[in-house]
Amino acid sequence: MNNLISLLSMGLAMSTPLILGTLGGLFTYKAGVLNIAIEGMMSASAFSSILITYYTRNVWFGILAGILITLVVGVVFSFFSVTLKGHNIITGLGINYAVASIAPFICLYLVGNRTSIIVTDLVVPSNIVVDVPLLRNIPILSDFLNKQTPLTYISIGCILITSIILYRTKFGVYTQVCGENQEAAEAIGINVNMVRYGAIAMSALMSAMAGINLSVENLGMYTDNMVSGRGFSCVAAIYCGKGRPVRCVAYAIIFGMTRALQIKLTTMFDAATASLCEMLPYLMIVIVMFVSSLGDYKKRNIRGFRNG
Amino acid sequence: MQRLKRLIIGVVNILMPIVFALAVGAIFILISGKNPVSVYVFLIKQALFSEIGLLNTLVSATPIIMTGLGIAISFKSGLYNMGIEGQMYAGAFFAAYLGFTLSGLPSVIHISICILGGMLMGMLYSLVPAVLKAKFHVDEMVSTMMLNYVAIIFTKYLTNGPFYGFTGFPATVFINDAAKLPRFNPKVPFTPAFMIAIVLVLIFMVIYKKTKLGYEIEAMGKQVYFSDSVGIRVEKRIIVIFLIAGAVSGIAGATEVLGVHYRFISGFSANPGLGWDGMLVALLASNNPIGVVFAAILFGALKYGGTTLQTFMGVSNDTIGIIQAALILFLSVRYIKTDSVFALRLESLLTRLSGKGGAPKEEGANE
Repeated sequence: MNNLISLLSMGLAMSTPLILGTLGGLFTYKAGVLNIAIEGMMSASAFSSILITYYTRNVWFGILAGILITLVVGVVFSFFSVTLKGHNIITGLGINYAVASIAPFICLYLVGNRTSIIVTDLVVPSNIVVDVPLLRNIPILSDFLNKQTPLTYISIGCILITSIILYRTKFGVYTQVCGENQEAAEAIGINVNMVRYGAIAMSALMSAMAGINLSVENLGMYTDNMVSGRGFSCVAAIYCGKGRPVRCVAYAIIFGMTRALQIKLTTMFDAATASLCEMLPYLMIVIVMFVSSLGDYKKRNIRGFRNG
Repeated sequence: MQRLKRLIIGVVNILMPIVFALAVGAIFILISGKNPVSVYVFLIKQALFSEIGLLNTLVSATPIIMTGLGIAISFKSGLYNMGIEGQMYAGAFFAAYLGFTLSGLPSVIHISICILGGMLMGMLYSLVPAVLKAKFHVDEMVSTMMLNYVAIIFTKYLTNGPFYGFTGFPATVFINDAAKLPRFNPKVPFTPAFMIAIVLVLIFMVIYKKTKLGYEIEAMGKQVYFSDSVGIRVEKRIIVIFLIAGAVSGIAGATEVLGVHYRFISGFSANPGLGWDGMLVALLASNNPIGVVFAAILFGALKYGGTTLQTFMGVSNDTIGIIQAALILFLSVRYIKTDSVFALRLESLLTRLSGKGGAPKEEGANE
């Protein structure tokens, strides 16, 4: 029982960046430019927030810089895939690649080693957790829902905010129109490029929060390649949930829980088997994508690739 | 005239991203306090203007040619198969396994078995995302990327655990001498692997130009639903295309093991890996097999030159990564379209130069 509760608690913590990334990615998915660069955006914010914290000795500056720099990354991505009409999968991969090589370059040049920046003297991850007043009195729920980091609660709030923005505001509806039918959107006078820039900026903002959660809140340090495929987990969650916010988040939580399970399993086995467990989160994504597609597979009754 | 115009536009479209990317790289070299011109000159000298350097460049280019072909055939048919990396790991490990377990075979047979084994393993591993895509419509980009992680982690486990070679780092034992590809120059791992790559290029050219499959690939890349409607068995073709990509990546992995490392080293393809380089090369060559060879040699030069930059010029190897990333971004854009103002001006200029002055033929947007 204790194991289960600590698994749930850890799973929720591990899900936070995935939830944020997924919700952000939803905007771009709806706007018709699938954002593969979530991975790179998360790295950019994880890296720059810690780097600036290291230099200014102030966490808030770091967080602000993380968000701003990720927005800049978002603008670069928008410029190439919206303004210049590059293929967004290729530009997205390019952004990921760029961040993955610029970060160690700057790290080596400014900090002196290629792979990590440690600011645990300024950020003490265990002090960041929030003790929620009412929640702490509920017996079992409090064990895993209480004492999470602020962004975990923010991410849960973001589910509601995203749904409201997407379905109840002008920007959200425009976003969906641009994704569904670009010509129609242009015909009624929507500035498709602007809407897409906006959607990518939303995505960058949320990915930035995800990156800050990874580096600042959870570890107080940046290590090279710390995002390790989380951005792609978000893309997978969006595909599995078919762009519906709550469903997508449910898949993101499944993927987050799997990561927590993997860490739990690592402590139970010897080193060799434990390293095998590292496959679990990635394998799980493929399996979940497969299972979630089975529903549609059964519905198909006409021959041909298109009718699937 | 049209051909000349298209050639000029094609060359400009390829050269501009390279120039832009080198410019971005120059900015980062400046940041690290070095002179970009001398760094680039040094890089070119190292990589191309000495026998050892040139051979090393070709060695670096060899696997990239093959992975580039694998990605090119996928991109050409509109499939975002990013799994080349994982399939290469699968092929490389199995080739190494065959290399050190089998013994007493003549060299030629042993090498052939290893390469075939690697190829089959690459195909087998690509079958997973292929079936998922063709039958269940699982997005191939995410699934192949995840399977890359799985392959890298699994081979790391194998080299750390059951097949640990007692070398102090995760690698298997060395393969038997009979399985090693012969080196033409003892100092450089330049082996028949390069010829294998060239043969594969020729095979791909034949596939594209002379077979029904080539036509179907082209059609699927242009419009998959239309291809489906006119009766191309898209599901089967997806599986075939994945298998071909898996086969070349398996061979790429096998030749790396048999020719360069002589054993399977965990993470031998480095980060971000040969599969990524393959993607870049395919983009740079716009999926043309011959283009892939030249692009791969350019990348081989960058890659080999990059390793010498670190030691001789004190420029971080990440600079090469940055140049490559910039190259992807700039390559995603078509700078000059065949019907743009620049293209029309170019055409009238060419007409005037040739002195014929005939009205240019109408050309539709067949880009």
